[in-house]
Amino acid sequence: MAVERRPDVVSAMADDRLGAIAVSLVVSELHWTPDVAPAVMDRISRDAVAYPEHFDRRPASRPQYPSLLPPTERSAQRTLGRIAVIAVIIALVVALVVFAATTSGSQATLAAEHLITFVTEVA
Amino acid sequence: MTGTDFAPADAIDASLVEAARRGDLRAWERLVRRYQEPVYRAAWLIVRDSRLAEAATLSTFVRAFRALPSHDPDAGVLPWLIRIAAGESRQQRRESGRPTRSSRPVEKAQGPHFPATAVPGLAEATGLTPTEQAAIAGAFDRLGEEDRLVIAARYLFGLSRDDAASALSIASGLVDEHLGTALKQLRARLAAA
Repeated sequence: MAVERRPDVVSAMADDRLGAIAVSLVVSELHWTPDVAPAVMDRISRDAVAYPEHFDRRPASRPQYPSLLPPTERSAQRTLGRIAVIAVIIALVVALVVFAATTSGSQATLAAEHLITFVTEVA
Repeated sequence: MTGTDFAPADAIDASLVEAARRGDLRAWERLVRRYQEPVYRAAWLIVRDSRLAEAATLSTFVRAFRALPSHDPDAGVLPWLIRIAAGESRQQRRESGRPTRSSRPVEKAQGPHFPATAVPGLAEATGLTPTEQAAIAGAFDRLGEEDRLVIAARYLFGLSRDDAASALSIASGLVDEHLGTALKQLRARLAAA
């Protein structure tokens, strides 16, 4: 029966060759590689929804990968809320100006105080 | 796929990184597909567990995407990814509570996967007997994590000295010293087997 291990053969190998063979033999145990790309892209797209401000700094992201960055309902509601608050404030200011222009000074001051109190409570 | 496929100045890498940095997720997906195998191998060499290596590979690419704004466009992609993968692998191992150097048989693939590409350098082992091959692989297995990684950086991934230094987070001038020490350890373990 042939001797399976020949010490001279291995010990005579150059360092580079021994290193290359050793790591190759070990890595060759891996017969398959997981395809992590779908999971990575899914995780990143969820990040894009959870942290949209991070992606706002990336102007090309939405047009080039639109399916991964859908507008969220939450952000749409937030925008509508902001618009409504701004509209109410503008309407109150306009009403105050119109009222002051058409009434006497003391009445205008009194009305202004009521309006300011009201706006403060609403805010 | 050979080590020379990952030249640091690879124009394809540079354009994909630049596009991904601008937010092009398709470009990032291409980079993931391009590098997931070497990153997985690097992670596996550290954790020696296919499930942990897969988790580390996944988190490497997620973390790397978040780190794109700080990535040096002139630096190689693979060394950068291996550096992140080393950190993620150690984190996975810590969280799993697994000891540092116990090997576990490679498990069968369950999720999406593809057959591994040929390992460079394996052809050189064909002249060895199975017993010799097992002895060499066993000696490599018993090396410390840093020794395994520096040998892989140079001989499996074919990284230059500077890129290996970047991947291992050490000074460029120390790569040869680390590699020499690792190979000496390999011979010592082989002789002791």
